[in-house]
Amino acid sequence: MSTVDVRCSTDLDRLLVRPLVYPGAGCVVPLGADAEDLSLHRSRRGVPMLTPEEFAGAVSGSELTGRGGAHVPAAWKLTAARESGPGGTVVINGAEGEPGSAKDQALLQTRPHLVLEGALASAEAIQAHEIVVWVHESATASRARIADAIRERRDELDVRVRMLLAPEGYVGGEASAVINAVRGGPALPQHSRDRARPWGDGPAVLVHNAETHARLGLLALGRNPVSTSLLTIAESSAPLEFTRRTVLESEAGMRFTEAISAAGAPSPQAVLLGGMGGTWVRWSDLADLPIDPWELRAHGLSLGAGIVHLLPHGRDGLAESAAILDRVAAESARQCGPCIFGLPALADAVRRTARGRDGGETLRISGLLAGRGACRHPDGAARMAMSAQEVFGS
Amino acid sequence: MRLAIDPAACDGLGMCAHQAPDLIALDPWGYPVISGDEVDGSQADQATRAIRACPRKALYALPG
Repeated sequence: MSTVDVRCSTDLDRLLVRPLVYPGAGCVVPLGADAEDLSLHRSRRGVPMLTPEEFAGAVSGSELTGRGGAHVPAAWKLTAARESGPGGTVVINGAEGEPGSAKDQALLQTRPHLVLEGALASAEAIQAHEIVVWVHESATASRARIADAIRERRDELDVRVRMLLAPEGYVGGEASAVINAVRGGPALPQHSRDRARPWGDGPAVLVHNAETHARLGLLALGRNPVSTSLLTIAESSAPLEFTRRTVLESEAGMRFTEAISAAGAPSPQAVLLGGMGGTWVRWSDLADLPIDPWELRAHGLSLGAGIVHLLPHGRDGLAESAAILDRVAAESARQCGPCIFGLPALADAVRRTARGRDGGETLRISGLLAGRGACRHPDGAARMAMSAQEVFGS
Repeated sequence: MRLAIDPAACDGLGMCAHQAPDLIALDPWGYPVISGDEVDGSQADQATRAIRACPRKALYALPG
C-alpha cells in the first residue's frame, strides 16, 4: 500500500501551498517553489472520478467564473460549447498580458497537472479533438514545465495536446484573439456577432485561463473550486516597473490588509485592483474588505485577473494612471478606431489632470470608449481612468 | 431591428452617419456611435440605407 499524504480537506481545495515570490519583471521559477510532477500531483490530489456528464453537472452547479479577468460563468461557456457539437478545441490560455500578474505562470510552473486535469475534463465533456496550450514565446520556464507535464502523461492521453506560441503583449491573450489564432488566423481580437458563441458556427473553441482550468481540475477531483482566490500582489519602483510580485492564495474571509502583510509589502496609499483595466481604490476603503468576489461586487469592485497593484505613498496617482494608459494605448491591436485614437487621447487627458486641469475631459472621453471595441481593451482603460479621477482628482 | 457595428471592420469612413443622421452620430475621431436601441419603424429606411452604404460591411442589423 502506498503512503498517502494526509491533509485536511481545505488543503485539497487549494491551488498553492505557499506564496510564490517573483523578484523583478521576469518569470523564472522562484527558488524553492513547490512544484508538482505527476506522481506528487496524484499522491496529493488523487485521480478524477467523474464521468463527463457528472463533470458538466458539477460545473453547472458551481459558482466558478473565469479568472482571466472577465469572470464569465464557467457553466455558461461549457453549456454553449457542448451545444456546438463534438470536434472542438479546449484552450489553456497562459498568455497573461497584464505585466503585474504572475499567477498563471505560477500555476503552469508549479501545478501543470492540475491545470491539465481541468482541460482534460473539459475536453471530455465537449468531446474536443484537441487541447491547445497558449503561452508567450518568452515564458520559457512555463513552457518547459507544461511540456514536461504533457510528456509525463503521453501514454495515457486520448486527446491531442499541442503548444501554440502567443505573440508578446496584451491583447494576444484576449479570448477572441486566441480563437482566431487556434484557427490559424492572426492573434487579433475579433468582433463576435453572437456573444454566446464567440467561436461562431461549428465546433467550439473553449478558452479558459490557466487558473480557471486549475479550478476546473479541482472540480473534476471532487473538490470545491471556489474556496480561495489567487492574487498577485504587485510592488513597483515606478509606474509598471515591477520589483516584486507575490502570488498568494487567499483563504476564505482573508482581508486585503492581511494579504498585503502576508506578502511582506508596506501599506500603500491606493490599489489598482484588477490590473491595467481595473479600478483604483483608496487603501483606507479596501484594507478591511474581504477578498471575496461576491462581497467585492457589492462594493462595485472586481478582482479582475487578481492583480493587486500597490501605489506606494509619495507617488502621484494621476501621473501613474497616465503612464499606465500610455502602455494600454501602446498595447492596442490597432484594429478599432475608438481604441486607436481614444486611448492616446484618454492618456493625454489624464496627464493634463495630473498637471492641474479639471477632470471633465477624462470623463467625456471615457464615456466614448465603453463597448466600442471588438474586445474590452478600451472598456478597461475607461474604467481605470474614471476611477483615477474619482480617487486622485481634486 | 437594432443596428450593430463590427468595430474591427469599421474604418471610420462615415458613410453610415451621412445616410442615417438620426440614428448614427460620429465620435471626435470620425467613428460611428449608435444607441443599440430598437430602430423605430419610421427610421427603418435610413437604417437600411446606412447598412448598404458601408463599404466595409461593418454596419449590420440585429433582429429584435
